[in-house]
This record gives sequence, structure tokens and C-alpha cells, in this order.
Amino acid sequence: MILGVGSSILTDDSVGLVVAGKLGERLAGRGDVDVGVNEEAGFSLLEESLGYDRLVVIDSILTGREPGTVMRLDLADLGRTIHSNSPHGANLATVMELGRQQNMDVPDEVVIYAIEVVDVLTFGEELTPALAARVGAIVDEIIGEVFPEPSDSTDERGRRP
Amino acid sequence: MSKRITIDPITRLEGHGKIEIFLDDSGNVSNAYFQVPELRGFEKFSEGRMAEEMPRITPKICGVCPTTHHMASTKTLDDLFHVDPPRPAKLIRELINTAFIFEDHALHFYFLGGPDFVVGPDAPAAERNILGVIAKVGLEIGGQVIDIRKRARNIITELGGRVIHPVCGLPGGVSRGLTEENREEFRKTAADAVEFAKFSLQLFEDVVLKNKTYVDLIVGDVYKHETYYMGLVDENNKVNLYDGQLRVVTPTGEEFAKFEAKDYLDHISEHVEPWSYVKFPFLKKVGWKGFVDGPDSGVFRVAPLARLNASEGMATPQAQAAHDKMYETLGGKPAHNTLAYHWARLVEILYAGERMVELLEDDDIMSDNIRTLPTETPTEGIGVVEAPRGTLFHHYKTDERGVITQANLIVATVCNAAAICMSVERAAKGLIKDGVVNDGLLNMVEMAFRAYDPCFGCATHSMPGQMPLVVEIKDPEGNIVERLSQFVDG
Repeated sequence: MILGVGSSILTDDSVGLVVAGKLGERLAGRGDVDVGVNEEAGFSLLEESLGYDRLVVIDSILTGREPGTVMRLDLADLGRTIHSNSPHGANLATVMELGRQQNMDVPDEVVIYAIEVVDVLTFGEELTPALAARVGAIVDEIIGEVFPEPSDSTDERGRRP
Repeated sequence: MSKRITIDPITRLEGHGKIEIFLDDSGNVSNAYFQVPELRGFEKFSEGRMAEEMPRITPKICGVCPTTHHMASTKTLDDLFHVDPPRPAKLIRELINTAFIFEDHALHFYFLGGPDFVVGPDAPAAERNILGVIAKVGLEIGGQVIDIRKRARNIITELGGRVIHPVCGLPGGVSRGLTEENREEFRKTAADAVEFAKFSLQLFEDVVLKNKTYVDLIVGDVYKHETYYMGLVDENNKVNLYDGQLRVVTPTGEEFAKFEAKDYLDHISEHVEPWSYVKFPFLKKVGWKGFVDGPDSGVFRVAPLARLNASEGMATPQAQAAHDKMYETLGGKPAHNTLAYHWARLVEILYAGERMVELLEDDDIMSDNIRTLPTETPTEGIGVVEAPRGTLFHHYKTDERGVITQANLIVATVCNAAAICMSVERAAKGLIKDGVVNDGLLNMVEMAFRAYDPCFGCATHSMPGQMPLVVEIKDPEGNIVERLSQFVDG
């Protein structure tokens, strides 16, 4: 399951949604993956990922790197935020652990591709130009990462029976 | 190719939620500021759009309270198009909003606020989360939280069209009614919601109220502010989360104002500070006197405790009993204890459960008379609902075609922004003496603002998806003398 997350009306915060949209087009012929978007966060990501072997989340990040830089993270990288004081929601690592505790069918593997962005505080439906120019390359990069070799599977969508 | 990194959460924080504490020459706190991110350009973004788009756009502002944005926006369209929805449509809207507040409050208590008490304010930060709560109360409870939340959200999905961003609200009504199957299922959900709320209140009593340390913390002075309070009330001055008039009470509990949403600008003004993009709403007829409490300061508070304070009680019997018990323990009404927001939140989930039962018992909710078609020329509209985090205002102006020319929102967290600053300052003053920062500072400051369940909205979709707490302590010249982060120290 590939899931783009973010807000579609906060400029670069939509990059996860935009990239997921492109991935959905590119991967439409494959039977072993579902591609979706989620404008919420935290708990709903757990719900959407249930029953899949693997969850790939695409989101934005601000670290000061070049716009469009893709960073691969896993839940351990988020682990330090498990006790974060966010006033709402819960982070991915926490909700996945919660799902495991509750014997829910959580993915065995969770990977996050965080894309460096410029502006997530201004209302707008377009990406900033520097980031927009990188979308094609980002899509290629993530496909190369997620599917290093062609898959023969055609009748499963990555979801366990 | 992409590389593996470890997130430095602090980088994500710049420009976002941040606490700045200024020390005087003696090393004691002179001021403490709580800064929240300000989203830019909403007015410009809205201009030129058809007003009917707003209930579908505004929920996207926030991944946290999309449902209440949808409802506030829909009510604004009623006003804008001068149309009064039929009663069944109002019942359906209220059911959706109430289901949302129920599930959001429940999530807050167990995931976010509860850890402070159920796990303990002195527990290591790494344990103060939902996993720590479950470790203490049992795995089964975790399953119950997940189950009841899912079922409450199903009400929103079925009636709202989509769970995250509902699309059902139209000027003059809603787009679909209930089926008998819906009603039967939702009734079970509502009945279970009442039981879950009662269980949660019992848990609060067993874990918090029977622990003298916690009770002392709640009723103590550290988190206490004697402010004005505002919330929506019905015709009997009982709490209403969807409709009614806005009632404001004084710090001693007398009614100070009661007004329709459309008159909000007569009562509320916004103060600007040079250090923050956020405007601080205050009561116009009292005036802005700074970040201080008392009857002469126009600072007011919203959200659960404020709603209960601003009312004359709850409109449902079991919630009323829980309300009475809370005020008895806190020493009367209004209660000024910020940590009692957690308790009031639980009283409200009981009300929300009972109210869902009532709404579903009302046969009008099954009527197919769910829309009054607007026929008048749109002009200006103002709508208000109670969000989990407090009163939410939407205000639009359009041309005669219904194209937006001006749009403004006042969101709940902003209404509480001044009070949050005050609570943070109070906690900081108690924990920083002569330049020595007490180890408990982060926890105590965190508890001060978490009680309000503030929402910084909106930009927090970006990774790591949450806002770490960073406190900067500055000398009188503004130089940073210490920088604390919950991630680093936790």
C-alpha cells in the first residue's frame, strides 16, 4: 500500500498527495499494489494500512535540504517522537505499535519517503516551482526504491487474504 | 539516491509552535510566550471561489477538526443565502457534529491528555503516551477506544459522505437523510458511547480523583486563571455543541453577554502582538489589558471547561449529574482550574453520547424534508459551531453571484491563545527560580497547554507529523541562554 499524506490546500504540504497521484497512474497496471491518499494523519493511517504486507507513506518534511530531496525513513526514525506532545493525533510509530498490541493486521514493514519542501504555511493548490520541477524525478526515485525489481504478482494487491 | 537519516525534530519546528521564556536580570521569568504557526493567505485563497465550495475546502485546512469546519461553513452558507434549514436537516447536522466531538474528545483523553494523569505527570516522557495508558489500564481498554471511535466515525462517514472531509452540508440543509438501517446501527453506537463515556469518567475518578497528588495539581494555583468564558448555549442556557446563542460569563459566573453569531464583531476584537502572527481575540466591551486574568481583562476562554462554565448546565441527565459532581469537587462554578479541562471533556463525551441517543430517538430525523432551497441573493454570512477545541467562527462576504469577496475564520485555539500564553507563563514562573531551571519544566509547561487541546493545524501534516515541544529561555537582551526539547531530553 502506497499512501500519500498531506493537505491539498497548503502549497507544498500537498506533495505527498501529488506524488501518490502520479504513482497511481504509473502503477495502474500492477496488481500487487494499491495507491491512495489521506489528508488526515495518525490513527487513520493505521486503519488504512490494515491487511497489507507493506506500507509506504509519502509525506513532506522541512529540514533545510534542497527542495525535492527524498529521505527514506522507517518507524525507528520516528520512534523518538513517540512521546511527543502533539495536541492531537498520534504519530505513525505509536499507532502501529498500538495496532500490534491490539493484534490488528498491521503491515510487517513501514517505510516513509519524506520529501523536502519549501512552504507548508501558505494556502495554495500549487507546489512551489522548485519542488514542482522535481516531481517527475521524485516519482522515478520512489518507484526505483519501492520496486527494485519487476514483480510477477498480478492477482494480489499486496493485501493478505 | 535517497539516504537514511535520523530526523532532527527541531528543524521541523522552526516557525511553528514554540515557547519563549524571557528572564529578568535576576534570572526569574519576566514573560513567557507561546507561539503557534499562522497559516497565510486564506483570504486571497478564498477570493473568487463560489461560496458553495467553502464547506468542501475549509475542512482541508485542518486534518484534525475537518467535520466542525464543514459544519461552521455550512451554517455560514445558510446565513449567506438567507435560508433556514428544516428541522430534520438540523438534527442530522447536529448528529454528525456530536459524533465527531465524541470521538475527538475520546481520542484526546486516552491518547493525549490521559497520559499526563493515567500514567502520571512525573512518569518518564517516553511512557506518557497511549501505550503507557494501555499498559496501566489494560489491553482491553485500548480495544474499546479503537472500536467506539471507529463506530462514531462511521456515523460521520455514512451521513457526511466521507469521513475525513464531509460533503453533506448544503445551504439550507443536507444532501442525504438516514435509512432505517443507519438509524438502527447508530442507536447501538450511541448507547455504547454513553456506556464508554461513563466508563471513562469512572476511570478518571479511580485513577485521578482518588490520587491526592493529582487532585492537588488540578485544584492548585499553578494552572488557575480567573477569566471570562464563552460557549454556545440553548434556550435554557444549557451547553449546545451545534447551535444556539453565544453566552459569555464573568470570572465570577454572572452572564456578561449573550448574542447571535452574526453579532460577534460587536463583542470580540483581536489584539496584535509584535512577536506573533496570531491575533489574540478578547472581549471588546472589557478591553485588552495584556496577558492577565481578572474581571478587568478581556481575555476569555473557550472549549470544554469554558463551555460548561458559560452554561447553566447540561441538557442531558447523566451529563448533568457528572457536571454537578465536577463543580462540587472543584469548589463551585465557574471553575478556573485549567487542568479541569480534561474532566470537562469527559463530561462532554457523556453529553455527546446522550445527545446522540436523543437525536436518534427523534422521529423527525427520519424525515425526507432535509433541504430548503435558497432563493435569495447571497450577501454576507456568519456561522458558528462548537468544535472540540472551542468556538469556531466562519465569516464570508460575496457578490450577488455568490462569489467570495472576503473570508475570515476565528478558530478555537486562537480564542484560547492568550490564556495558553498565561498558563505557560504561570507554569514557567513556578519552575524557574534565580536562573535555575527545574527539571520538571517541560512536563509542566506541556501539561499547561495540552489541557486546552490546542490545534496548530494544519501544517502539522508534514513529517514527523507532530510538533515537538521546544522551550527557549532568553535573557533580557533576547539572547538564548537555554534551549530545551522534549525530544532531546525525554
